[in-house]
Formats: sequence, C-alpha cells, structure tokens
Amino acid sequence: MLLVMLDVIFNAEFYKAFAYLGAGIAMIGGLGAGIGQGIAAGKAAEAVGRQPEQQVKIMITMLVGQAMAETTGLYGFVIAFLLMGQ
Amino acid sequence: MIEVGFYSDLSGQMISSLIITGVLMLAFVLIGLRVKRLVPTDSPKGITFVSISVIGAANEFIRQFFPNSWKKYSPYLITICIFVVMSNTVSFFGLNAPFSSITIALTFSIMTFTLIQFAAVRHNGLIGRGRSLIGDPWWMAMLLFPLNIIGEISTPLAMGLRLFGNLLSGALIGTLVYGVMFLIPVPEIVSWVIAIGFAGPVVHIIFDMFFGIVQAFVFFMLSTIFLSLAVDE
Repeated sequence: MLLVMLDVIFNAEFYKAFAYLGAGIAMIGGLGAGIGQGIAAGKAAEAVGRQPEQQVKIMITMLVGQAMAETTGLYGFVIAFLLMGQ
Repeated sequence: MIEVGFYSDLSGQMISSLIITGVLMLAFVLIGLRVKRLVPTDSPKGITFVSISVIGAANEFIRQFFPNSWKKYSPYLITICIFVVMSNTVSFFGLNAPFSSITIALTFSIMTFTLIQFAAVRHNGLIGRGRSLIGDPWWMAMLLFPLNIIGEISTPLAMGLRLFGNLLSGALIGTLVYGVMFLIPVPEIVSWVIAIGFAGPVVHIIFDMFFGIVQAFVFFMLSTIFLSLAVDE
C-alpha cells in the first residue's frame, strides 16, 4: 500500500485533479443555502396559514430573504466555476 | 479615433450592456419629452401613464426609507433598478446577460460603494464618518477600525457577486439544457424542435424572467437599505 502511494508522480496534469476535487467540495455550500431557503419557505407557509390576507407581502418578504440566503450557495458555485476553468 | 474594431472586440456582455444603455437613454428621453408636453387638466394615456405610475410607486417606496432626502437618491436608485431589470431579462432577445460578466457586476459594486461612502460623508460630515468608523470606545479602535473597513467593503462586493453568481448560473444551466438536447440520438431537426419548443421556454422563464426580476428587486432593495443606513435619518 505504501509502495503504491509512493509511486504517484506529480506531473503537469496533476493540479487539475485537485481543481475538480475542490470544485466538488465547494458545491457542498449549496446544502446550507437549500436548507435555509426551505426553512424560509416553510415559515412563510405558516404565516400565510395564520394571515391569509397578507399573502402578497409575506411572499415578497420570503423571496427577498431567500435571495439573500442564496448568496452563500452562489459563492460556492462561483468558486467551483473558477476552479473548473483552471 | 475609436475604430469599429474596438466595439466588435468587446465581450458579448459588454456589447449587450452598451445596447441596453442606448435603448434606455432613447426611451427615457422620448418618455421625458412626452411627460413634459402633458397638459395638467388632461389625464395621461398609454406609456406616459404607465411610466408616471411606476415612478410614483417607486418614489413612494423609497420615501419610507428616506423621509427627508428621498428626492436626492430616488433617481439613481430607480435608474439602477430599471437597468438591472432590463439587463437580467435581455437574454430573451438573444443577447448575453450583462451581469454574467464579472467586470460589470463588480462595476456595480464599486458604484454602490462610492455612493454609500459619499452619502455617509455628506450627511454626517468627515468627522462624524470617521467617528462612526472608529467605533464607540476610542481605545478599541485598533480592533474595530479594520473590521469596520472590511464591513464597508464587503457589503457592496456581496451585492455584485450575488448578481454575478445568479446570472452566471442561469446562463450556464441554459447552455447545459440546450447542449444536452443535441446529445440525444435523434435527427438534428427533432433536437431543435425539442430545444426551442419545450426546454427553452421553461429555462428562459425560470432563469431569465423570474430569477432576473427577483434579483433586480433584491439589488434595488439592498442598495436602498444600505444607503438609508449610511444616511441615517
């Protein structure tokens, strides 16, 4: 096992593997954004259930909040995209 | 002399942002002339009525955040909002969305940053601005001053990067959806029909129309909120 690991040669293409690996790891950031958006949507549904006459205001607030929460996922996406282009 | 090659060598996003700027300038001038010619006793009709009511609603919205100086800032904010809405939905017409280029997204970050700093200095004075950057107990300045500077820079940067990431992901997913249609082993004409008839509209309505307008509204709202925090009325 140790012999196999020592046989790895660092050639010019080697960094690409790590770039793709890093892109994959960066997209894990989408997990948090998804959970946050789901929580926001659930709370908005509860609020509409409690006050159906305020539906439009609640929906606008929810969309703005979700667009804010999306930011961290988008940072992960941008970093992944930059790494893919390496 | 600027040659024609200067314009054709620009990236597609730059060209489409120039086209949008030209179209908006022309439309604003024409609508402005029509509004100027209005008679106060007549009720406005058509595009004049639509633009007057839209601008009035936007002014009312901005007035909640700037009770005193809304007249100074609402022209800039509404212009930015209209430009972002137009540029996010422009891929309907076959142009590249300008904000899928990081140059234009970060240009908007720099614009917002400059505007917020100038407004803060203008309303609080240089001394008041420096005092708010240093923080409350002056002996904590060593710790708080760098943090405040980072905070001032990071909010406009986050706004620009948010637009960039949204539009880039929309463009990328659209490209992927269109590209996968031609991997199906059917004649090319069938792929075109599927791409234009079924997959294309869905992608464009979700990523250009819905996310584009939501992101434009978020950008407008965030610049309004941060500007009103800086002006602090």
